[in-house]
Amino acid sequence: MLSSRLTPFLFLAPALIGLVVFRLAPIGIAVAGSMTGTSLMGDLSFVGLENFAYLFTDAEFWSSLQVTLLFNLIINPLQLAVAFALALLVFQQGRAIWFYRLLLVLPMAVSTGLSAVLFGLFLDGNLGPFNGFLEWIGIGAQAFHRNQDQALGTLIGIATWKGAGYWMLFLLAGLYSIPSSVQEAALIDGATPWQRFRLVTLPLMRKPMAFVLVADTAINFLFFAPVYILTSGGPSGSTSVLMYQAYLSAFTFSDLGRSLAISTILLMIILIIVALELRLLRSPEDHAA
Amino acid sequence: MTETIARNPLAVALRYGALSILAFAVVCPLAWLALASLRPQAEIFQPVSEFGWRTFVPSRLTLDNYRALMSGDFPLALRNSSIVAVTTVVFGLVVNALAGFAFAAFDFRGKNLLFLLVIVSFMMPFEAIVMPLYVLISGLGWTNSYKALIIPEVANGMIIFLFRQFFASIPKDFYEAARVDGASWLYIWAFIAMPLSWPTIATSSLMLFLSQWDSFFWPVVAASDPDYAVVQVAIARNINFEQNDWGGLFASTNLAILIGMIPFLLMQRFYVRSLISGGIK
Amino acid sequence: MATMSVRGLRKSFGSTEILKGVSLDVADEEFVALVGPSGCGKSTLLRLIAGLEEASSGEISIAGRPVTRLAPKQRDVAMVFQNYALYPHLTVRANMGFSLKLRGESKAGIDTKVNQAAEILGLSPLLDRYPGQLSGGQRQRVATGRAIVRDPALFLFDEPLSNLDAKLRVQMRTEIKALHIRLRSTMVYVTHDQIEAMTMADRIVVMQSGKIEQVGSPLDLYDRPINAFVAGFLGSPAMNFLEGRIDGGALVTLDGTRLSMPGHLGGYQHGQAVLWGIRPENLALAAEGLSARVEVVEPTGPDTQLLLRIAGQPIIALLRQRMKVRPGELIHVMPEPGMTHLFDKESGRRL
Repeated sequence: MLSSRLTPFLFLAPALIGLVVFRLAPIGIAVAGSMTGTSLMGDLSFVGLENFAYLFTDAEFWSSLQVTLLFNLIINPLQLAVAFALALLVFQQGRAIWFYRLLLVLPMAVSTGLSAVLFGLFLDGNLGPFNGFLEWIGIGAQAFHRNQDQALGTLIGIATWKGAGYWMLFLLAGLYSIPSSVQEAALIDGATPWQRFRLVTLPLMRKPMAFVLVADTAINFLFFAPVYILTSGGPSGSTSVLMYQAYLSAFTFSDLGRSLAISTILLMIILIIVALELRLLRSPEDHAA
Repeated sequence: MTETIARNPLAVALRYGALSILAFAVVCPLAWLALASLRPQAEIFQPVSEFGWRTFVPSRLTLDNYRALMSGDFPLALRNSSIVAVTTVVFGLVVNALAGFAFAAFDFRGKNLLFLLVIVSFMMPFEAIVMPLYVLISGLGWTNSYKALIIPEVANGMIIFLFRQFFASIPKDFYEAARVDGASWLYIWAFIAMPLSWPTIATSSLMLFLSQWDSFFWPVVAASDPDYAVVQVAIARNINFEQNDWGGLFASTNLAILIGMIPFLLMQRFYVRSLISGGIK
Repeated sequence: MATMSVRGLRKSFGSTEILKGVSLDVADEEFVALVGPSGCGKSTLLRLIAGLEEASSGEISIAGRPVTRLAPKQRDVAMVFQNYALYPHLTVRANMGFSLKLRGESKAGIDTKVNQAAEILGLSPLLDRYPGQLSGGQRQRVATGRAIVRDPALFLFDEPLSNLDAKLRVQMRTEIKALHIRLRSTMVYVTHDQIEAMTMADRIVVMQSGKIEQVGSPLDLYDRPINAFVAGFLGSPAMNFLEGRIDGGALVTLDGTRLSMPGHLGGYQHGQAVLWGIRPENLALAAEGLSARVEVVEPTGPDTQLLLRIAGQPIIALLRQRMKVRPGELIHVMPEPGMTHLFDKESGRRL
């Protein structure tokens, strides 16, 4: 029957057209666009790899790449560690624990943009309480995102405030998937709490931890809103991540080719990460029971 | 030393102590903002030297800041965000549930490949394609319009995935019995499958709503015109530009956070479960 | 190897009391099975002995040493779990040697013991596999092997065969029993399967609602159950019960039928409400006796199982012969002398 063979595609069409046009096609546009240049008149012309060649000689690009890598090198392990610590702390029964869990995941309901605004106010010397607190305990007021040496750290702190509870949920689900009898077997086998953690819990958490690390990295390579809202890439380029460079190139310097070249580089990184993620989820660990 | 089975009370105290400190660190900024937004204008500035309980607790609570909001450009931003978010929820539910149903109920050529596309589309964070998507949208002449904000966000891989998971959990007999009775597939989807799937509908609505309510990068790029500024963009602009209405900024930020947080709190159990099923399963 | 004893053990979870004062002595080298319906507290008792739960009150000692407040690692017990609880990330070898490694034994020492245990259980070719690559029966063996390697004072088994299919269960039953004889170790074995308990144990502990109903050798319990619960729990098909009142030498059933049972009911109080019990295999065809209507005939090959109706109540008879009877026929059966049981209706106690 013709109709029944067409039916699935009629059901799929609206969503698939949306995904193909607004998710898949932009990847092609990025790659194609990265090989075009725009003249002052606004004409498009094919320039091959010129945009990339120019990027690789551009000190600003290298410094931005360095900032992005540094940011990711710190934030991803940090968020994983904090999220794992939180998951271990709330991995318990009881009403009180349920309440703590709720409090810890609250920030995931606050958008990244609003988190940035919130901390912009909270850390402000005149408007927020935090510097007053630092004065009060004797550390003294800090400039945070307005200081070249503190800005990246401040953004990392804000992102961790927002993200740790979210990633905690995945690790908590991982902890729950370890059969309690396996922990009990270790108890009977004579393992101390530390041995149980290191020899049983940790190896069995490898997969959820790898998932969190990979998924978190994908998000943090594209970190943008707090940079735009709080630092505009500054002070002195200390927070100018690649995504922000891509934005600036297009909207401040009207250099769409450069913007798309950076986007293409980011996309390649992200697609590699997604491939890793897929492999991780697809291949059932051969020795999992 | 002999170890006993009884829980070590010191360990319990340490656990709850650590949790309390962490929970305080997480909640403190939110609580501070909520209280600060109820402060009289005169108390907004908090000199660093005057740290104390007054830093957190206003001398009197007032809704002045919220009242003042209503006269500025914030109502427009609220309106824009609401139109964008609600439209996306309505169309997103239909479009993605249809696709999820197709993946669950039918066998067809290319199914696995198409499903892979769905999965990749939600594993790849949206921000990755914002710049080229802007090129596409401006090529279509859609910049600075509701279209630009809504249409690219309607098809959502995560929601398709959730609906597929749910529809696949309904025994096929259910659908086939209705087919034998002469129902069309569209009828089965609308009157049998959808009514059963209300938990998925509820979480998906929340996810679609939050995806729009929280989005910032795309609106900044695609609809930078003040007439189309959504809440996130309007607030972010206000913190950057020199201005006097800090009370208004407090109030609008707090309001925007609450509007995102209340549905989350109401539905967090469903929401968390769906989130994890999308990530790990 | 060692003795184990439990005195006045109680355990509550919140306001529900799971164990209501349990006392039990297990002799050196003895195999004791804890049986009972689910929720009777047998698994809780085992977990208390292992140290996985803490007793609300009462005392536990192993090898004469009080262990009530000690952590599992200090009790010198090994446990085989229902779902095997193998470490999924470790090979069979590492699973079996895990406890020895924690104890700090030398690598050579661990290898010797693991190889030895693997030899006994036929696991030698599987030592480098992961649990996920093993069949259910193999996993069960690894779990047992992990316990053997420890050479513990006491082995604990928590329904170790319940996840296996019927055929494998029978095979593993024999293997564990052989292992007990070979190792001459003390074992406490929880099961809900009364056949497992009957075939494997030196002594059976029947539990119900957090209490021990009766302790004894399998045949003791089978032949002289202390109450109607134990009588009904052990044996398959289960013991038949007829409810009624004693009237001289006869039993008057609920529907008023008068079953005269000469020699069976002498000496009991007239009018007492009782349960009269007879095991299916203790009924024989007779020219006269209890008249029974045949409802279902189930030939099993060597035996024939009949579902009968006597005095309006269903009764199963297991006859060691092939028979030509049809449903609807009227036959007569006679209880084997000395094989009937009488219980007080009210308390269930044996009379």
